[in-house]
Amino acid sequence: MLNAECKNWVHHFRRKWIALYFAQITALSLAIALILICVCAILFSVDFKIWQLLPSFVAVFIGFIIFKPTWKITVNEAAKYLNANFLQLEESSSLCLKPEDELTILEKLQLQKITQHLPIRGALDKAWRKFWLCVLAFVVTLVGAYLIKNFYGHEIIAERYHISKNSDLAKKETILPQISNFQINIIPPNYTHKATRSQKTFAIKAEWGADVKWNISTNIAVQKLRLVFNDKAFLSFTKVNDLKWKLSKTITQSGFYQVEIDGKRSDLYQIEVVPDLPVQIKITKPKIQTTIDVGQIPKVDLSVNLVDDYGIKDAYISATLSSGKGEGVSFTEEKLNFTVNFAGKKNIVLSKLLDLTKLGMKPGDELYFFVHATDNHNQSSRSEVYMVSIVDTTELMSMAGMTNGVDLVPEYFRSQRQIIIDTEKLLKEQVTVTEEEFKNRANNLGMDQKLLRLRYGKFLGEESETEIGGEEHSEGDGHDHGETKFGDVQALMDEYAHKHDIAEDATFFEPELKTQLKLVLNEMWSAELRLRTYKPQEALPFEYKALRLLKDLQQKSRAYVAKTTIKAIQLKPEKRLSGELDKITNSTQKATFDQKDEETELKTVLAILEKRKINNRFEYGEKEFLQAAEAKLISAAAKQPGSFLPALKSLRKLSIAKNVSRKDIETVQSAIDRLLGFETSKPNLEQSAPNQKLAQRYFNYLKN
Amino acid sequence: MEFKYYIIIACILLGLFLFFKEISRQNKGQLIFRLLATLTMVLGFALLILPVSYNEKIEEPIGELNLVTQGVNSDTIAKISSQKFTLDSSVLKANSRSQINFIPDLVYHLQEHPSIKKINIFGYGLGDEELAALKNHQVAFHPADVPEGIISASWPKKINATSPLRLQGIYNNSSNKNIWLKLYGMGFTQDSMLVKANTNVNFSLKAQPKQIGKAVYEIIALHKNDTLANEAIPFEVNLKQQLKVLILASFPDFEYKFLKKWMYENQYEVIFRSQISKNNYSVDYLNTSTTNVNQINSSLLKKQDILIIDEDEFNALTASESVLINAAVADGLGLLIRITNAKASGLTQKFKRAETLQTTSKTTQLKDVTGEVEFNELPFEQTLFLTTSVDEQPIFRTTAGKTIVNSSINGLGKILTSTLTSTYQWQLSGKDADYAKFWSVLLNKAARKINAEQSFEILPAMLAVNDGGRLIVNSVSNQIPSLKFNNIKLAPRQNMEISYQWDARFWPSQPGWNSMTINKSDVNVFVYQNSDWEQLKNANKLNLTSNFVKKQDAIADQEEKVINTISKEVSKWWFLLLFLFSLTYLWYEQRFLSGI
Repeated sequence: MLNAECKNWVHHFRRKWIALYFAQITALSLAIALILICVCAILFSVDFKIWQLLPSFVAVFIGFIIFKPTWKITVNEAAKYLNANFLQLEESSSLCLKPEDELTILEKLQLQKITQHLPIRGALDKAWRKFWLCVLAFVVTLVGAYLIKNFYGHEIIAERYHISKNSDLAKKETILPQISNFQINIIPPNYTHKATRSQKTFAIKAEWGADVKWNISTNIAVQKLRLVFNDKAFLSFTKVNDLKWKLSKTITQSGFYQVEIDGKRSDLYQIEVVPDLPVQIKITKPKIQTTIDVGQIPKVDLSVNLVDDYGIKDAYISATLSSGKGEGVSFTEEKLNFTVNFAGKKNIVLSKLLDLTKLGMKPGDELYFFVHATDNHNQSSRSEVYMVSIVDTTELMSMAGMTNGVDLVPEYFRSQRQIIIDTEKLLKEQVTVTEEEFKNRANNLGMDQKLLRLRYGKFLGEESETEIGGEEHSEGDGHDHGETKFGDVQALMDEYAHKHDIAEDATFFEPELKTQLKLVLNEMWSAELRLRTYKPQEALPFEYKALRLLKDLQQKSRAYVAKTTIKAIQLKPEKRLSGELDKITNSTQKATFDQKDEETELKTVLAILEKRKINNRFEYGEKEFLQAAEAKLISAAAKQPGSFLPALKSLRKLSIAKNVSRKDIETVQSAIDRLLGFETSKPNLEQSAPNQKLAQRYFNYLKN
Repeated sequence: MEFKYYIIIACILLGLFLFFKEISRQNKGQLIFRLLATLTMVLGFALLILPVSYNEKIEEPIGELNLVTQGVNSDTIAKISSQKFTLDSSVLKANSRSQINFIPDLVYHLQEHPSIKKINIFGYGLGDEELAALKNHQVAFHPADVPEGIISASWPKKINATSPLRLQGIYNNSSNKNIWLKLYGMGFTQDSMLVKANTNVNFSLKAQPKQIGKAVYEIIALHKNDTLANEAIPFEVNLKQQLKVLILASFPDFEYKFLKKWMYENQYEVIFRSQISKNNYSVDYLNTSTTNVNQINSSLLKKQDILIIDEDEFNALTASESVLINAAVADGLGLLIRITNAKASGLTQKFKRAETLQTTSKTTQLKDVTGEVEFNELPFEQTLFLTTSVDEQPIFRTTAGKTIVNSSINGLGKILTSTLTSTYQWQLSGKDADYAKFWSVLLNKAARKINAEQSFEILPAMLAVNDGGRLIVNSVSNQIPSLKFNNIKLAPRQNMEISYQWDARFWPSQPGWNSMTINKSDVNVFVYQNSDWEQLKNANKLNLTSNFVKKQDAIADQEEKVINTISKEVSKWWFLLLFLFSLTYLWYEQRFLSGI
């Protein structure tokens, strides 16, 4: 009986102990996982997410379970632990675990003695203490992580992302000695959805329109504190208290600035503006010009990719439909919306199926459209204009343009048209005629098409049937290359060989015309194939296309000049052909190109700097040249601080300092070189050897 | 009087006195013998004092001198069995273990050791002046490997504004590394080139210097981040010179209009005359003062550097005018004739031309004959071409090889002919650089050359600090030129054969740019550091020494033995013996023979 009570208590103790242990490692794992994530975030400068906590927690927890397997603790071990820790048990707690009938008298007595002390108060105190410590550790890390995320992390990340690109500038920043502390807060405009950031460097990289706030603490009381922008604009700080000053400005322009304390100016600091770009529109489908031939579905699949740096507000398709011909052209404009919620997304892929018949397009009409997009700063942009046209079959079949003017190869055109008419007729009668008859007629049409194709082939110089059409064999594939590849024996031989009788060159067409003719043949070939395989319905589009191309070809060989009205000046017949020249006098114009040669000035500065590399000082009058160069560099740096500001800094250093580094000189030199830009060559007078009497005499002898 | 004459006189006197004594002696029995003995005795005495020498011819092996110079490797040194010498203290330092003796002055050393007949040179060899001292010696050269690095380099020391700086040379890369050669100047790399491992490469680097005046670029050999060589490239850029151009046009066309504008904006002095009607002209004076150009006269032509004229106007010139122009060209004026007619007539007949049929090509691609200048194509087809005769030089051709611009010489001047009529198309299509290139080449070729007041040359080409430099001046007059180097007056020496050539020696002590004044005009002289261009200098030495040896080989005595004439002195002991013997006889005769 005694035994059971005691035994229960030990078992109970063990269970509680293990449960507490699990609670401990859970808290501890959470703390360690949090620390790990923070360290990773700082080291690799990533913004950590809360879900990342779970895997790291699991990893640490499993680690604990594996390396400190407290859960494996047996009852005996628990008993041993109790023996070691509590004197009251007199090293006898293991007796509880023994079956009662195995106990000796003495053991029973001992058991009885110790059972009096049970349950021991505060047996789990140690474990509890550990647990609370772990919980405390977790709370501390939690608070720490929160602080890091909101303060330290922000700066780190801000520095990494925004200053690192001009980190060499930031590194070298020299600050006026009066400044004890400063902070610059950059508040990007609302539409960018970017958070406010603060930095401890003067070089600024800010979004267009961002508010920049300078907070400067000085170590002594100063009279006047102001900023000098681009060496010309001044902006004074307002005093917060004796040692604290502040100023804010909206940045819309790149350039550079200096801090001026009581007339003493600091180093030059760069301002770089990140402009807000309009939405980039990329139309992936369709092609810039699409023609819908007979038989094709009058639908166009439009697919657009829009990208913006801060967010897209809206986009629509502006479509213009032109219908009619000549004088009677009418335009209708329509705005088609995408049925998408943009919601300020930065990147979006849109697609829309343009149903041309719904838009009211008829054959012969043309549709012009472009995509218009607005970003969340209301900057709009538009794509190029795309065109879709539907081929007008009636126009193709008409005789207009062939009945008048030069008729180049009219019968062939009629033939192609005839084939189309016949094919359509055959299709209409398909129901009434027998299948054999149908096949026969289709085959006959195919034969006609072939004959026609052969006739056209002759224009290309094709003489045999085999050469024709099937394969695409256009200009510029394979053999007509201007540049020869290494080891191309044929090309090498061609250079020396005298070749003639190349079928392709034997005709009198221009190469452009020939390529189009080849395309026609290609279409004819496709049509013939369908006709011969008894599929006149499928052949029809190809026939139409061949006809269309042929028509284009015909139009190309014509030039058309519209009639205009002329207003001729009235002639004075009495003055004509009189041969009198007395009213004609000599005329003289005089001009002097009077521009200060700024280039020469900069060029001289280059030479001065080159000399400075060797000498230790500038000579009299050279500083004026340097000042002129400085003025140029200032205006260049105001526009492009990234590339000219370091040079300007170096130049200022050069004009003040006694010992200058070669690197500074070279920075200025390369900047001036860039300012001078590309130079075109100019003619010069060449010098010849001195004109000695001896040489002169030789020359005269040679001449005579 | 010399000492020996005293002795001879004293001995003759002594002899005469003794002879007298012998003859005057009572006992004359042995007189002849005694006289003879006296003579030999006096002779012996005299010869005891006076040395007697004779000449002897002996055959002996020649003396050799092993001279170790820079670039020699230790294996080669170890192989030399006999004594080694060097002129270079750096060699001494580098090979301190192998016993090498130092010769401070080769000429002195050779004088001191006349037995040295043959000199073995190991390593890169010797310079010009040291080799001159070995002229009378047999020289054998054991060259070291060609040094690794830039072994040859050349670039113009002075270039005109806007023309590029071209640096050419040879890089010997015998290592297993790829090496980048970079031309560095004005703070950035102007041009670069890769030299592959184990190659000997002719390199050519180009830069477009923008400064006016002096500059020192650098050529840098880099392997990854290792700088293998860094040498100075000093050069100067001249100020742009103003050209004076006279254009005579039969009628103003676009080509003239654009050319005029281009020259005007580049501040050249241009007079443009175009005919309105007979003897009536429209004249533009650009950047210049007005003068009467209705009549062409010699003073007008003398002032101009180049005359541009079209064919029609050239043929319409009066006889006197064309004679004047011809004379002016012979005197240096440049003449550029624009050939526009397919049929030759009049004065321009001598410029042969050919017209081709229009083809389908719609462009003309131009090519410089030297291949240095490249152009974008012109958007029209050129059909009129020139044929180049024997005394003409083509300047521009189409890529098909048909000549467009020809050049010929007339006296001091040049006559250029061009059939290209629409170069302004380049400007219209925004290819201003091509337009400028084309006209620059044309005008540079044609324009009058200005005569320099003097020319000068400095030797050696890469003058180093504390090395003796030699300045050679060619002046126009025969007057003594006044020469100053860094404000120190130099003493010129006139060339014995060429009266206008003078030279002077000077010793630069400062590296970098030094100033030299030649007859009031200042020129700049760049003085290198002693360590600059070391590999190039070594390669030069290698060439010099092997050339020298080749020349010597032809004349050198190849015998291993030489016959020497040596004067030998007769030993004084012989005369002492003779002297004593005579004395003994005289004493013995008196004592034992005469007493009887």
